[in-house]
Amino acid sequence: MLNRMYAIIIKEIQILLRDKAGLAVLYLMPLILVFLMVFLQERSFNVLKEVEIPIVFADDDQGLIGKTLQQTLQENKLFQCTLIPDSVNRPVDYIAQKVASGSFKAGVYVPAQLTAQTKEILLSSSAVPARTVHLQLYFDPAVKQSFQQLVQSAIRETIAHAETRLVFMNMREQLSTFGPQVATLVALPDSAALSESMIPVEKSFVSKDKSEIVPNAVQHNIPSWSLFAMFFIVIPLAGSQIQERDEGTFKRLQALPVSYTELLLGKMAVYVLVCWTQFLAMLSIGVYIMPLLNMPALETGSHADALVLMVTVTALAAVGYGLMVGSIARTQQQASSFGSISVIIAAAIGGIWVPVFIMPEIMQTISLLSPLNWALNGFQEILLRGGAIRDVLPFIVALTLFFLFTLTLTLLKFRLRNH
Amino acid sequence: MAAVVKVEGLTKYYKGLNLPAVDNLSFEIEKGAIFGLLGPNGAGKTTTLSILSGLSSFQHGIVTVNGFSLPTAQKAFKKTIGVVPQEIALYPNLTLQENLFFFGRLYGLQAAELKTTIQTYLELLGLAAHRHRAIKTFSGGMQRRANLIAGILHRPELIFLDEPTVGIDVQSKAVILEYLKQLNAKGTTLIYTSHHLAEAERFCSHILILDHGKRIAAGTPQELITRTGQAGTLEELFLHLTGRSLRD
Ligand SMILES: Nc1ncnc2c1ncn2[C@@H]1O[C@H](COP(=O)(O)OP(=O)(O)OP(=O)(O)O)[C@@H](O)[C@H]1O
Ligand SMILES: [Mg+2]
Repeated sequence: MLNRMYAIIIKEIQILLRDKAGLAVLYLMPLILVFLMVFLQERSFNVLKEVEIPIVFADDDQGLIGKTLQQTLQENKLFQCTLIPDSVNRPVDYIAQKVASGSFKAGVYVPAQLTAQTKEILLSSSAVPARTVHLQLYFDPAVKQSFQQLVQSAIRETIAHAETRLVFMNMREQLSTFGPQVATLVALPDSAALSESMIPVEKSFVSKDKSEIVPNAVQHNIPSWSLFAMFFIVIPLAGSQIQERDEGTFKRLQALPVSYTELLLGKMAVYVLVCWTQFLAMLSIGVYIMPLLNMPALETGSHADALVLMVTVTALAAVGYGLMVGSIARTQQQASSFGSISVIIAAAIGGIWVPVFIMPEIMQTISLLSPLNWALNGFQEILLRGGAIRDVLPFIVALTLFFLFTLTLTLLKFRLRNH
Repeated sequence: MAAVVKVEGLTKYYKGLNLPAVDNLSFEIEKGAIFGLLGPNGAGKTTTLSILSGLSSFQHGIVTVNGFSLPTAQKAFKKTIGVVPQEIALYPNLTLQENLFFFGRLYGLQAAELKTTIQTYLELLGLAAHRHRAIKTFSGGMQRRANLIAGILHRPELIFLDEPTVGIDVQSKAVILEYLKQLNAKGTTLIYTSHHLAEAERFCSHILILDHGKRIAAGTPQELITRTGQAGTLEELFLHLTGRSLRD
């Protein structure tokens, strides 16, 4: 039995190594696809990922409002706030030009005297002095409405806080005329207390699962194309079976003291190994090569055991599919066209080309039918969210059932063919 | 003499065909015979060999080969027979040596034994210099010789040969037939099909002529020729028995 398995495995490897076109499909195609897709999709994924919005800021006020605004913009994680260089003479023009040229999405200019004038207006008891200075905002016209509102509301909130402080300061000043002791009766709220808001709000994120976590281009494409390539073994695997039937070697094999199950096991062992080498190659590209190209490195999660299991069941599912196609198809043409088209369709609905979370609702449901989707979900659970075996158990079970189903059909077809 | 093959009332229908490919066929083959299965295209020669070598199922009849009652999936049975198919049943992209090692290992031969066996056969059949070439680069005659070796690596006592000399030159044919004669002289039973009637006449000890899956005539070549009287050669007899109409 061992001698026979050894013979079958050696033979399958020899045949595979001679098949240069098949090897190119298995190893070169996913390599090209993964680089192509990572670079094509890098921007799209960044848009989805809430990147920081670059803002340019200038403060000629140097008063309370200017200082608070600068602090807020610098501390807010949504913005990436850059101060204009000291050497700039006309900050307004500088900001306008920088935003127009696309270097920044927005610009904020706090003119001189803004705090002073606001104070004056707030304190005036009779005639309100006219405003002569304004806070100035500049936007890139291509910027989304929602983003403009985000900047505006951040600024409005800051100004409101500053104004409140000014009112309190005013009260203290007035009270101090009754003596310095009296003034301390009014505590000056600090900006932290103000921004915490008087009525505390508790915020929590709720969603059915954790699938809202958005991957980056590398994190999506490496597992996607690895398992796409793994399923593409359908071409050489189905091809090798049909070739054996065409050549007559299959007939000879049946005359030999070796069972069909042993022959299948040998093929399975070799092609599971192929899947593993494909996966490891893609994994190393994600981990080692992508960072060299200024791309984020692939996260590999923290559960190697889960990953090993996931790769193995995915490989088995792919091998089972290849065996099934090879046993049902009658000709090489049938096998390679049906095999590749079916894998491409399963990949498309499974979220390999375009991630499932940006698909319309109906397609998200349909995607659940694709074994590539089960595999991709399993990989993302492990790689992206640090999932363990128990987290990917449903996917492992589904892929195993798929493997058993395809294997059963293969064996049934063999029995039918021979009787 | 003990019969190594016993066939009684064998009938085989292929799915989708109304007429049987083998029709109520009965014969026996004795140990040490060179048994020729002759007949026009589509007569049922390959089908009969497939059944005898355990590759095909059948609907009616009793078939016993080497003491095993067929059909059987037993590996023990498969080890007792050698099969040389009508097609070149070798991996075209693998070298001759790779092919022979593969099939030899499947017969359960150990590496050392296999090596010497392969060496012997390659020298006997004039392929020793070509062992590292891919089968697809071989000429027709070389492929036929390689196809023969792959089926007899385990030195079986009973060999089925489906047209082992088709499409090859006189030299290759002579080498193959000579070698088969040698094997037969050592006691190996050969069951063989061919369209070369002159070759069969000289080569076979017994002949069975089939047409439309039915037995038309059987006996030693000499018996057959003298029995009919009017034919001087097996070929004339064959045409006399099977007629001149073309077969599908
Ligand atoms: N796999 C098959 N399915 C259906 N019909 C078949 C199959 N194999 C053979 N037949 C039919 O069975 C009959 C006998 O075929 P077989 O191959 O046994 O003939 P043969 O004597 O070997 O012919 P040849 O001299 O051309 O090799 C033919 O009518 C053939 O068409
Ligand atoms: Mg035939």
